[in-house]
Amino acid sequence: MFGIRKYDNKMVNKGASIVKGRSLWIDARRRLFQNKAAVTALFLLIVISLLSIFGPFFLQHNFSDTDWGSIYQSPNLQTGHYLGTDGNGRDLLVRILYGGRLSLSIGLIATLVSVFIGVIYGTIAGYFGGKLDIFMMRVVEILYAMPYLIFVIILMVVFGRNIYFLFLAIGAVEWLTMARIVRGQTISLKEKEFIETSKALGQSDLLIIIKHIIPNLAGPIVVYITLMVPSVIILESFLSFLGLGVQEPLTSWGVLISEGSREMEAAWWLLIFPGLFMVITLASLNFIGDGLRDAIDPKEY
Amino acid sequence: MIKFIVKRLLIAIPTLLVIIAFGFIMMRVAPGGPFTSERALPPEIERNIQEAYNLNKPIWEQFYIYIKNLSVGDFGPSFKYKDFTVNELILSGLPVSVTLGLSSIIISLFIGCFLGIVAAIKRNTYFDYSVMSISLIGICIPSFVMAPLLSLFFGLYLGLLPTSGWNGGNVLNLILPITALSLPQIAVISRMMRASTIEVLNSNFIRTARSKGLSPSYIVRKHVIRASILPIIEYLAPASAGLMTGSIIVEQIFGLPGIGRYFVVGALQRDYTLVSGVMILYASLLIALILVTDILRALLDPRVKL
Repeated sequence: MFGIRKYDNKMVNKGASIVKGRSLWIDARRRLFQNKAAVTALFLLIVISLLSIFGPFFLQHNFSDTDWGSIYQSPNLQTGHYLGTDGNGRDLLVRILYGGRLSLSIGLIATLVSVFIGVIYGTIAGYFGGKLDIFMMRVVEILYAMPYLIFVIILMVVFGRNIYFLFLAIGAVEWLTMARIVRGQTISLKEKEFIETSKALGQSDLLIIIKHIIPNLAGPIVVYITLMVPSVIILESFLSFLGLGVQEPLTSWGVLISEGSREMEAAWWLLIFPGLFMVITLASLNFIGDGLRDAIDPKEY
Repeated sequence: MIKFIVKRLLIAIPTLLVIIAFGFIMMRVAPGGPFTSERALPPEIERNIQEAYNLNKPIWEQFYIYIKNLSVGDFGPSFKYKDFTVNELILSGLPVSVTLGLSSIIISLFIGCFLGIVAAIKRNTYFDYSVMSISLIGICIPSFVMAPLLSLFFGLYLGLLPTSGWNGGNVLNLILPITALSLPQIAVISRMMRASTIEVLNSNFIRTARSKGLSPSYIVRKHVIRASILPIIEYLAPASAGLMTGSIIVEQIFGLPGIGRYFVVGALQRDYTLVSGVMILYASLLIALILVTDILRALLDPRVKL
């Protein structure tokens, strides 16, 4: 069988060796880079991520150093407090960058957790179908009816305000939509001829799911990840805002915005700058997500 | 129709039971009860407290008592606000939260739909571009950034509106919280409405209506809106869920004594009965809303059969 395919390839290549095949992904990348909004957003996101990761090493202040001599200083280029200081004299810029590390990594990790759960759940329900599918989707429907933020708040109350539980709690509620998308795609995929062929060749269900179904879901999954990261960042900030998320001395954008909104009468910069960083990040992620969706699935537009 | 409603209500019962059981178990399993304090209480007093709140009984019996009380609409006593029942707390917060939520949803529906339809009709003009880019910004600014900004700008700098407080439901006190709650919803609804209106405008029955010589405004009023509003109806349930969680933040920031505030305070103080009471209330509201939207969709869309 393999011999025949090789032979075929040779024949084809002889006829049209000049035209190089373009995969879906190369095509998608080309379309993505033609989208100016998406490219700008990608650039901004990379800048903010790099600043968050490496920025604190180059700044003269530490994120937890208190300086009672410089409380509530407004943004000033001379003192090195480029974005001012908070009520404990801590440098705001360093704190924003540290908060960015935490907010971005929570966004990424919690998203991966929920994608992991959602993909496994969705493929199993979609692939095996029948009563199992009905039962599994009933469970998802029940969970959908839960006001999920309230669910996360309760999880955080129960397990204490531990940052690892924060990852888990957010991941545990965000997988529902992923599971639905994946299930729908799996149902349409499993009727395709190449799945039938693998079945006829005697491949196990597990192998078919891992080797054939999941790789073909990559498009919607990637799009959904970029749209989910911002919602996870908002969720984390929401919890931190209420005092249920990240705890001192650690900080995140939500914590900073919460502090800023309490002290905005004395120091507007404590609210404006963390908010600005967060809004730019969220907007960039949304633009990238939209761009990716158009690039991978151009037929919609 | 009636069969459908009854069936949906029957499905809702296990859903609610699961949610109640979840809330109950979570709060009981949680470390540190509402009565754990730094000062150790004498054992007799502790026993009396436990007896008064049925905490000494086995957990399944507690659950049974809880369900039994719930079925007659009794959420039990609050563990933290002594002398108050959860019913009293919820009832005191309900007018505030309902006022906020209802006015926000009505305002965001009207403004969002209007902007979306006009943007779709005037597609690719400056009006369209500005509505769409402003709404994109609206989506990206979360309520806990928008609310303090509004209060800073209109309350402190311009001094036009009060920054916080309920003040017996004074309209001036309501403007900022309702704006903060509605803006993200307006943004989402206007984008959805634009997309669905464009789709409807391109469909065959609109072309037929046009070829019959009907005036454009008549077509929009009688044919387009009816079809393009369907996705918005479906969005009502998630929008209300968003408003519920949004109101938690907004009530916190503007110092309004609503249910969301009690929920946060209850969660921070481990007030089991208060938290599960609010959660059950929210969940039942959401389930009811999903049912209502399903019925509404069936009434508006002749293709859907119940």
